[in-house]
Parts: sequence; structure tokens; C-alpha cells
Amino acid sequence: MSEETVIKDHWALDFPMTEHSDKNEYVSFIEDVVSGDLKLINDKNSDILIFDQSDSRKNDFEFELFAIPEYSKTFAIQKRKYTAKTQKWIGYVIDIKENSFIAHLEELNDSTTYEIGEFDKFEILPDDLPLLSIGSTFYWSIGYLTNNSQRKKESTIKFRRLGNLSVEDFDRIKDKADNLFESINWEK
Amino acid sequence: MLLEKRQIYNFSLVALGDFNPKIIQPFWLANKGLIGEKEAEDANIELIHSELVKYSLTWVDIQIQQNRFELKSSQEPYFESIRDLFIGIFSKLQETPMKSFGINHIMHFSARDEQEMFNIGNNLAPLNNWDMLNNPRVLNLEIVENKRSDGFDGKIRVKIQPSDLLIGSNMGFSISINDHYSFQEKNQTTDNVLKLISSQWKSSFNSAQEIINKLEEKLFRL
Repeated sequence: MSEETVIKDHWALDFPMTEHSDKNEYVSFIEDVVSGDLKLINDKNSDILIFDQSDSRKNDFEFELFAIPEYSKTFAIQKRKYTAKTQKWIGYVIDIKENSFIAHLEELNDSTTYEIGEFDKFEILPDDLPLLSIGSTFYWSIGYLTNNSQRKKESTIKFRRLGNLSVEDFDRIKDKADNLFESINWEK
Repeated sequence: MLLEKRQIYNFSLVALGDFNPKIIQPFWLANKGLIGEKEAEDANIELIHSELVKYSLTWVDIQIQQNRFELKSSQEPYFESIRDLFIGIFSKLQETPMKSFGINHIMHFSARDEQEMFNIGNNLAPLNNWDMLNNPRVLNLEIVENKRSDGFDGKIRVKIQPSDLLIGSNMGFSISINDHYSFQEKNQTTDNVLKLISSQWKSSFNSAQEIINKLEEKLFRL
């Protein structure tokens, strides 16, 4: 089974240990706690659970181990957040105004037609605002978001992130482009 | 159309290989420009350990073990962003050896009533073959296409089972499609894997839809 990419019904730590079907995932974890390899910073504000080798509480590992499933409950609840009846477009920014931007939109399931749409900049998440520039790509979708027992219609804009280019990345891409350019036989 | 009755669409990208879980933490992703800084700050971290890293952003759950890397979400607006995140991570970690990856589509549906639920099971695995049992029911069924028809190495697996997400109803079932690609050459580096994911992305969604559409005719046959 470990050689398969099938999605697992449950992940490690999703449920209390006694209910978990694959306890092997805990074995090395427990061994590391016992050997003092893990770190614990019990930050109540952020739910961060990391074991600290220098922490004197590492001797209390037995107590902390049983505390872990408690943290996982928040994770399990998040699984009840899902969207349905979603329609999606990929957009390319073609113009930016003071409070809005204009984009060329292609429906993801049917790229044969396109539309032009204008969006309020306020719809962009603050984290994504620096990505707004002519030519940048974003995904726009509308659909129904169910979060636990609440359901609402939602419009989502998420800008595409492919990562910062390092000098090595830039050189590699430039080399590829140069090779491609050299391989073209121009008609004389 | 069965697809229109879909209630939940879970999606995941799974890669098998040799990974260093501790590297791929939220602030590393932010540092590489793959997520925003605020997203990294707000990440819900469950565990950071050399053998297992597990956290979630608002739109994706991330679990990394030394031999398994997995991104999953039940929010359709972000499926493309999951692909971009996967490609972004392994463009930065180009020497990561991988031996296979899978694109998983898990769709949850509601049957109209108990009779329809029974018919679905009965159509999949005729229950008159099980007359030695009293009131038999189908729990789950898994079928594999052992040799892919598109020429790639790998398998397509389809699993039908009761839904564990449609709570409050016993009439929910899910269809899971594992679009699995494996590599002849063990420990493939990321470049070829990323090219394959990009090129197969759309066809994976199309073939998942086609499987569902074709299954519909059989599932709801009276």
C-alpha cells in the first residue's frame, strides 16, 4: 500500500491513537520523543506544537503525546469546508486602474471563448496585491462555500504564484531560451 | 447528470520518493514566493518533525513524510493553485528523487433514497450472487485499470464507497479516482515529473469526468 498514491482516508494524527488504523506512523515519532529529539513549544495562540530538546518538560513526553490528538481536532473540523457548483476562469491582467483592474478571462472548462471583466482591487487578498501587474495570471471562481453548516455564494480571486526566480533559475531559463533560439532554422 | 449532483470534490496530489519534510515549512514557502507571508503566519501547524510535517493553509492541507508528499483540498477554486504549489516547490528542490505521483479526484454524491442507494450497490456487484448472506449490501468496490490506455506507466483505480463526508445522511457515496503515474527509471528527478503533471493536468480532470459520466449509466440502471 505504501507504494501507492491513492489518497489515504485519514492522515496521521487525524484521530486519537486508539482509533487510528495505521499506528506505524507514530512509532518513529514516539521513538524521537523518548530520545529527546523532538521539540515542544506549546503556543496556545497559534496551535503550534513542536518539541524542544532543551525543554525540561520533555520528561513529560507521555502526557504531551496524549495531548496531540486534541490539537488535531481543529484539523478535522476544517475538512467540513468545501465548495460546490464552482465555475472557474483563468484571467490575465490587461489594464490596471486606480481602484480596479481589467482582465482577459478564459473559462477553465471551455477555453474556446473569452470574456473581458473588470474587478475591484478590493477583491484581491492583501498578500496577493504585490502580484498585480500587467500580464499577471490569476484564477477567478464563483461557487457555493459550505463551512460546517453555513453555506454562502463566494467569489474567489487567487493570483498565480510560481515562486521567486533565483539567479540560477534565471540562468537556467535563459540557457533554455538561447538553445531554443539557436535551434530555429530561419528561412533566408 | 451525476456530475451536477456532486456535493463535494476532494482533490489531492501525491508524490512518492525521497523527501526532506523539515525543509518544506510555511516560511520556506513564503521565502520562495510560493505563498504569501501572511498565509505563512496564519498556517495551522500541527507538527514539524524530521519525519513528518503536517500543516494547513486556508486552501490546502499539506503532509510530508520521508517517502510521501501530499497536498489536498476540498475547495475547487484552489485546485490549480495546488498544482502551481507542487510545481513551485519541486522547481526549487530539483534534485528530489521521485518514483511516482498520483492525481486523486474524490467526488461525493447523495443518492435520492435508500432504494437508489441499494440499486447502486446491486448494479455494481449483483447481490443475487450473495444469497448465502441475509440481506447483503455492497460496502465498497475498487477496480483497477492495470495498464493505462494513454501509454504512460501507471494505473487508474476507481473506488466506490459510502461517503465519510456527507454527514447526517446514510445515502452518501463517494467515487475516488486515482490517476497514478509511475516511472520506469527509479528515482526520477523532478523536471520530468513536473512536465508530466503540467501536460496531464487537464486530461486527468477530463478522464475523471468521463469515468463519472460512464459510471452514471451503470449505477442508476434499474
